Amino acid sequence: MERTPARHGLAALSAAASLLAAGDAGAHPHMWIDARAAVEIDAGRRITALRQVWLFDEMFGAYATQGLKKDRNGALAPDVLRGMAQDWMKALGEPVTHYFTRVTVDGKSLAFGAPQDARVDWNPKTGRLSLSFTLPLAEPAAPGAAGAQVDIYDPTYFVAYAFDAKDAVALGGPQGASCTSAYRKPKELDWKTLQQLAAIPADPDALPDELFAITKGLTHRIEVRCL
Amino acid sequence: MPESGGAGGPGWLSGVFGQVAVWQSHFYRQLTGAVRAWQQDGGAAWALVGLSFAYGVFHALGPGHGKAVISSYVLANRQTARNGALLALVSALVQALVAIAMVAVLALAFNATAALMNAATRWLELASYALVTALGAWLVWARAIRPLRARAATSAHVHAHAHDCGCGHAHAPEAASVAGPLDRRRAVSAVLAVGLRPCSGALIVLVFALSQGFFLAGVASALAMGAGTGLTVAALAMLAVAAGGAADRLGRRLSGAGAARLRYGVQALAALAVLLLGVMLLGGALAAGG
Repeated sequence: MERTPARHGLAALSAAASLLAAGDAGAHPHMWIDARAAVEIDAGRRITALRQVWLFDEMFGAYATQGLKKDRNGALAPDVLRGMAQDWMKALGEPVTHYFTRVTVDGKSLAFGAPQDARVDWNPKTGRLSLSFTLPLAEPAAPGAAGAQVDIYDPTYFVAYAFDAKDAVALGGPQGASCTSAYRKPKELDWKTLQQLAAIPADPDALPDELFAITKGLTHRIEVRCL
Repeated sequence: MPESGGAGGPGWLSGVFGQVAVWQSHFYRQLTGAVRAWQQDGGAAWALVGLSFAYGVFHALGPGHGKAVISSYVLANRQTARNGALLALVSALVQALVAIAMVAVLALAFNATAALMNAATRWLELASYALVTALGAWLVWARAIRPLRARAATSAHVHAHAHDCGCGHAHAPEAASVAGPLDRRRAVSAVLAVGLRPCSGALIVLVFALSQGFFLAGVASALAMGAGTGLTVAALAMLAVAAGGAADRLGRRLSGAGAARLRYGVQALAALAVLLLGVMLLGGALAAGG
């Protein structure tokens, strides 16, 4: 049981990451992501998509690029990067990972369409990989009176996100300027939550909602309001 | 599994566990810097070794199957504190060596990709969990089922015996059956069950060190992590032995028969715990990878 959630987290970043499914992975993160997210607002003040950029830590970069052919400057071939982007997006699309992202309006979580513009970049100088993608909502949604909540997190704690950069959270699109966003950091993981996480059954279909309930308050949350 | 069985911990415990997780992440994140520092200045080697050791200690305090297997094995087999500690240390060392060997052969010699190393890790993981299951099944047979059958067969005799000579006598066959070459084989399977699956933290540090052209730093770090984990699990195993001894003393106050029953209960439960853990880990790994 201790390893099952970790396996899902690992599955998320797939090929390179699947090593990390190991049993001890659940204890603490093995992958750090400096993330940025932009919420796209259309002319009707509805949320249409989320643009995300995930910059991975250096150790993960070294591991994921191990054995891959690099040119004289340390760059990776474009088709290798394209393959990585494809694999990762596929793994992230699995129901258990769900892009580690959830958008909620009026207590209901909204469905996503197929992700677009996925690409992976490798910076040989910093040794860091980054993944960027656009995640459209299946149907554009107005935030409503109570606002919309965008939650980004890995409930299995295999991946640790940070939204520390000044422009880490932004609003874009035609009416982006007429809406507001507020970012809230996750609270610290406590013992009780750890136990609840450990008690989750190994049934992947039951995972997301149950985890979502337990991990309330543990997410990186962006509150969007358009008034 | 044993460590998640308890009810919600008290407030201070929550603080302790939260802090363990924080420290562990803290040490882990500094490893990259420590590898580079050593690369530039040989005297900084100790910083990496110390950091890795601390990471290993806190790593062992988090959830993991290693300490559950070792502690239960020690309880089920009535091992001495010294043997329990030795078992813990050796299995942690084996785990570090497996990680080092894997990265040395696959990444260093064959320049394998992450995907290939993941596949190798997965096989080792399956082998490790299968071994835990097999060990558990054997322990349940030897510590829970066989004693019952023996008792049924010689029921009258055992009863008379236990009342007459207390628990001193009952110890003897136990001690005899855990000693000798058979025990060594079992100890080896326990060590492999725990050590075969390399720790992801160690693999990542090794590959990172390799990418910096400084594999030696990765080796030192993996070994130091193993030492930290091993010493911590050794302490936990000795605690398990002490708990088993306390249960014995408690039983002795009851009666000869009570002592035997209590001892049987502790051993049978510990054996069952190893089997359940193995089945759960193996089932989870197979389901996830299928």
